[in-house]
Amino acid sequence: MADDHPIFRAGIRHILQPHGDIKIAAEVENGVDLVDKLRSSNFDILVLDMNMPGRNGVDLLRQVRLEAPRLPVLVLSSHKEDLYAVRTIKAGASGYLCKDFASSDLPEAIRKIAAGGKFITPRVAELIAMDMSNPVSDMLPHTLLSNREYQIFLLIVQGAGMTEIANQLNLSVKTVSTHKVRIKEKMQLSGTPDFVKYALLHGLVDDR
Amino acid sequence: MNQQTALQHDSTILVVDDTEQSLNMLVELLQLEGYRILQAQYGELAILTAQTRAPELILLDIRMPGMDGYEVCRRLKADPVTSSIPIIFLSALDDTEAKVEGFHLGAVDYISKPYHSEEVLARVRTQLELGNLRRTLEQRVALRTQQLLAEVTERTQATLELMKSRQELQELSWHLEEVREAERKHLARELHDELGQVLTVQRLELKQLADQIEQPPDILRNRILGVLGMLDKVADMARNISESLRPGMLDVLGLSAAVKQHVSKFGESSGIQCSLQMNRDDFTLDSRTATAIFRILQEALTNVARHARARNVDIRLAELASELILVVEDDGCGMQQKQPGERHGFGLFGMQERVKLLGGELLIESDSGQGTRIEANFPLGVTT
Repeated sequence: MADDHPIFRAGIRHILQPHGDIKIAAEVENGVDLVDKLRSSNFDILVLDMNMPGRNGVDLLRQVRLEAPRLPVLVLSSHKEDLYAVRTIKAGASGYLCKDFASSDLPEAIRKIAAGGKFITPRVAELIAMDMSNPVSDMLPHTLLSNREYQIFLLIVQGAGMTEIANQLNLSVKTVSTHKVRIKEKMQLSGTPDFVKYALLHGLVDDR
Repeated sequence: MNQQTALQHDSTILVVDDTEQSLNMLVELLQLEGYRILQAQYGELAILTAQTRAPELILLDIRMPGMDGYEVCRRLKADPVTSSIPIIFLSALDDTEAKVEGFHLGAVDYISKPYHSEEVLARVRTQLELGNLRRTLEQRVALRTQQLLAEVTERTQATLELMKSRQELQELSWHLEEVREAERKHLARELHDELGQVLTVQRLELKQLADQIEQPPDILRNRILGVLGMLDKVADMARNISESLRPGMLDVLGLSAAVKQHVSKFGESSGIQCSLQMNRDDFTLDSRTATAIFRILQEALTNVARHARARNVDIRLAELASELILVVEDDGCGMQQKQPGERHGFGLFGMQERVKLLGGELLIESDSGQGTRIEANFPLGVTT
């Protein structure tokens, strides 16, 4: 059990006391001690408070996973928001439990996880599924363009030259070129042929 | 006329000629006009006299035994002490080549023998006047140059001081920002962890107590459950205060999670439809940059809720090759529709400062009735 609050550790001991099948083999109160302990002994399950002094959060969880890849981890946290559960489980935890529900749910969660299962609320499972079906890479880079940049992007795609665009928009050629550089940076494309491909692929212009 | 007379009397002329007769004739002619005359009959003496007595004009014969006039001229021009003294060559050689050679060496004029008194005097007078004008001009230029230099130095100094104080101001803002953030973090932690933990534990205790009371009537049990409910509320309050001081998610889960959470809460509380897109699940940022970006987003959304009268807001956060870019775009009233005289609020000013501190840029596009688009970009790998 890793938690930096003695009073809370006492509470956990109290909760687990009536359950003879669960034994607290070791207690640590910071990330460094935790890693030391994991290197020197073997455990069936780790109950981890991610919010400890020093290295904390998802970083700490990742390090634990590196040190002991097969050790199932139950994250115990004072944060209620579902996003904590989503992120910690994605980072490799087997379960997430808010401390508010520890008294009723902790023994069951420990048993489930020690047996190789997961402890996830239906709501969190749903959120994780949504997260998976909506990967971050789906962000379309042209949405980062300003109105002006998007206007110039479309003109370039339609085959207009720098001077033509400058005249049409009443800008200097230099300004238009600066915009083009910025468009390339934002969309991470290398030039006009890539612009055209992108625009066609995403239906930004009529396919003529 | 007066000036000219005075000038003549003041002027010293060096006459160099190896032929005594010729020398005397020139000396007499010039002395009669009131000039002070120095004379030399050979080259070395001419150079020495020029160096020590600083004449204003030299009349120099070309044909002399030993060092000839050309050589004397060459040496006088090579010496910075004498190089600016005008030289008029004197010679019986009335051929163009000799004249050209003389001018080539730096002579200002040429008088052919036999002399005509009027011509000699006229040429001498002209050269002295020119020399005098040149000196006056040089003095003025030198004086003005000095003044300009002083001004430039003063301005450079002022600019340097301005830059220095700007830098100091910026460092001070950074420092203030960090102190404020550290203070918030501390308070948030105290509230969340210390107070929150105690509440949680008390709650656990009470719950167990309540579970142990089974005999009816369960008035006692219900009362304990009532206290439990209140404790829950207090714990939530502590959490909310803590969260508003410093988003715990920023420390525990990182920027993208904190942004996601903040946007979703903002959408619920403001009723504005929010669309959030990010191109990373995890942004690899130092905590200072992550905090600043989070605060900028927070301020941008606060502005949208307060001023924009928007129905939709798009938020995009993307890591590009060498920068991080944050875009907040709403479909509200735009900034021009604000009350006349009303300036961009402190929110915008604060955002600008934060972006500047990170070495980034804040661009604002806003057309009346067309909404507002804020774009902040930060160079990556620059801040420590």
